[in-house]
Amino acid sequence: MPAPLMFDFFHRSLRNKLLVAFIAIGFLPYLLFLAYALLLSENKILNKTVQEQYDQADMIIHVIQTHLHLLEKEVLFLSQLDIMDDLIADDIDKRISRLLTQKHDDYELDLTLLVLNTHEQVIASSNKEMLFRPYHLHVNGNRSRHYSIAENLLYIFAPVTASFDTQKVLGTLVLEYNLNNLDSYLIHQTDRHAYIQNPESGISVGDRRLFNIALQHQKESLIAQEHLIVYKELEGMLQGWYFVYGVDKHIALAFLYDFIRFMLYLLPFILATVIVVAVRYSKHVVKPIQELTRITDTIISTKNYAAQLQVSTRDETAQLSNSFNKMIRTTNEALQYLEHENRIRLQRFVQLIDIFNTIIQTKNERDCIEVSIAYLQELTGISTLHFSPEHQHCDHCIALYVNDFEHDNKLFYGSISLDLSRFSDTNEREFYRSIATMIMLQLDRIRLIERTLLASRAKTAFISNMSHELRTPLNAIIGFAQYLITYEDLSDEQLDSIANIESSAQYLLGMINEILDIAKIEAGKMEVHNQEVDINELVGNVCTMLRPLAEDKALYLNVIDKHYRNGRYRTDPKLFQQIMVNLLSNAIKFTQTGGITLELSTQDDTLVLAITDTGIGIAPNEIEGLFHDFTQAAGVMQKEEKGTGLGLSLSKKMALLLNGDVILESDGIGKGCRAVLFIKI
Amino acid sequence: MQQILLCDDDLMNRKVASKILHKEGFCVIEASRGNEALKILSEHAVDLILMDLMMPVMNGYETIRQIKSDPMLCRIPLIIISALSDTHSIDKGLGLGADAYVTKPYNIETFRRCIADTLHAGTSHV
Repeated sequence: MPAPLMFDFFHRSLRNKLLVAFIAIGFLPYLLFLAYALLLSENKILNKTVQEQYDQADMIIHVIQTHLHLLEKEVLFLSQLDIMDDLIADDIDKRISRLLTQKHDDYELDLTLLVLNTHEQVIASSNKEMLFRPYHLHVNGNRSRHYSIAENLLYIFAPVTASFDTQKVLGTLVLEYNLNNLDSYLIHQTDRHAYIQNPESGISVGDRRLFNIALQHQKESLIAQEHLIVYKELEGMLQGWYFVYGVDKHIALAFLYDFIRFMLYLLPFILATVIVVAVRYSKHVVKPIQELTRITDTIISTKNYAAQLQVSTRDETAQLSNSFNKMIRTTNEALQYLEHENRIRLQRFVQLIDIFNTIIQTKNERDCIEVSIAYLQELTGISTLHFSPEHQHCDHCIALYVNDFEHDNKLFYGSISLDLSRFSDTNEREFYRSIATMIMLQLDRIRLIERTLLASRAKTAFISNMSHELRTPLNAIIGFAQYLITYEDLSDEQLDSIANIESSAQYLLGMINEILDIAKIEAGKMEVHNQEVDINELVGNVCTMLRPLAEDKALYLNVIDKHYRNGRYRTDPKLFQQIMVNLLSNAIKFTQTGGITLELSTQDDTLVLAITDTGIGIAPNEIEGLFHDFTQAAGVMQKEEKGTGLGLSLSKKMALLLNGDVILESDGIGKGCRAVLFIKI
Repeated sequence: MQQILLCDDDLMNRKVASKILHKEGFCVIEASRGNEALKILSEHAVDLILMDLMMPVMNGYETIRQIKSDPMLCRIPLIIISALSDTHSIDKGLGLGADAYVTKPYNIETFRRCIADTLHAGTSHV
């Protein structure tokens, strides 16, 4: 595992941290104990083992010493027997030999008992072959020690004195002891072994093949290859000899090795136990936190705030879980409260819209107030709630104000007996205030509509009256003039004057009619009566009507209907003719020579009537102005050919009423003019 | 000589119409209000009624309605002579039973022809 990954493993999960901590804590004592055993106990155990080996060696040494001591005592005992007086004879003594042989046989050891006379001749022995032979007793050092060693033989001896005179030495009793006898006291096992050795002579008793060491005085124990060896210098008769005791190292240190093996065998179990405990415990610790995370995630994804954590313990995580549950519960309650509030507000809002819709549909002030009061009574549950046009105690009621449009200020309209202070909720108060505002707005609206209607009616009446009042005196003027012309016998001069009066009156009438028509269109009072018409017939009528005017000025008037698709179309014949009359009479009026060509054609659903003259023409920059009322007409009026200045403007307005238009084209002054009427048919 | 009732509140208009009608050979009885006209009709036999519409006290429409609802008078030919030129007024007037509608200002020619036509239609009908 690379370092960053391990780092990640450790830091990404609380559980991993706990696992590592638990395993460390659980495993540490084992490791410490193992280290202690390996590093410190080995020496102690070794020392103890060595000590044990010493004890063992001491025991064997003690047995050997005791054995030798007994032999010594036996020698002393035998030397003091009365029988020994027989030595005086200096010849072979069968009685003593018999005793010695018996003793020798008793021991069943490789030893020889013999008695020397003062001439160092064997006079009695357990070994007959030695009788009366000279015998050199190897006594190194002084004789008082009663023993000596030569080669592998131990000599134990005691002087034999006469029983009657202890000062008289008769001879010497000698026990010739083969040290190999000691072999039976030594241990010869495969795992432990002992021998004694004299390092000076190199002679040893016991098998030395297993281990052979150079003995040193300084140390008393050593470990040689496979063995733990202890050695000790012997005392007494075996002075100068060493006891060497070796134990198979594996046996001696068996406990230590067993312990280490045991610990190693134990390792997987301890490891397994620690891991199992760590895993289970960390799981136990982390589980509530994971559960917390899971629940939180669930809440986030499902928005279900009713979810709660299961709490099964009583520790800190349980406290955390309880706090979390409490928080979620509080949040849920708050959310539900908000939802409830929202629902109420939405209902209020819908109610308000409903009320507004109803109020807005009322047509007059009385209905508006009645409907509003009925709603307020229903909403508040106050059946005594009412409207009053009077000023009441307006601290406890809602005052209604309306706009005074003429003076641009507010007028008191009346009051609603609803005390807003009875509602503690600001929203509630705002709700009723909104309704009150709505009522005031609707009252304003109704008043505005009524005013507008009234103004419109007044305008219509004015137009109608104007028309009537202007026409009435004109009727008298024209009537009297025509009466004079028709019935009276007048001079030419008088006739001319009367005719001037009549034509001026007719001109005035035309102007009045046009002004009234424009006023009517602008007031939206011009009525359009569409019906199926024969366009050819309408055009023919107008041409017939105006042809005399053209003929008076010697102008031609041609009608071309090359691209005209004949048929009956729907339009208002009166307006159509009026427009055509205006345009054609204009053309005749402003043309002195040449004539007028009337071109009729249809393009899809549009009728196009083009009236082209060879008249005075128009400067291109003046064309647009000709469609304005009066303003640009002034220039024209100063010229010879009089016009109301309203003809084109009126024609365009009428054409627009018929879903059409009028345009004017000219190549300039003196180059004629072309008026085109488009009408959707 | 045929008698014509001329009802108009405007003196000048009454005068000019009266002059024309005299020249045409009719006997003219003038009235300036609708109620006056009804009073005259109850006293005189008339061949033709020329009725203005816009008059104070009793307007033309009301007068025509009363004339047409009177079985004794309803057959008398009636021409409305009014300065009201809108279709609404014309339709309303004709709808009440008037035989013709002449808008003021009128041409003498039109005026004369209308009277002649109405009287002719009335006599031929009878």
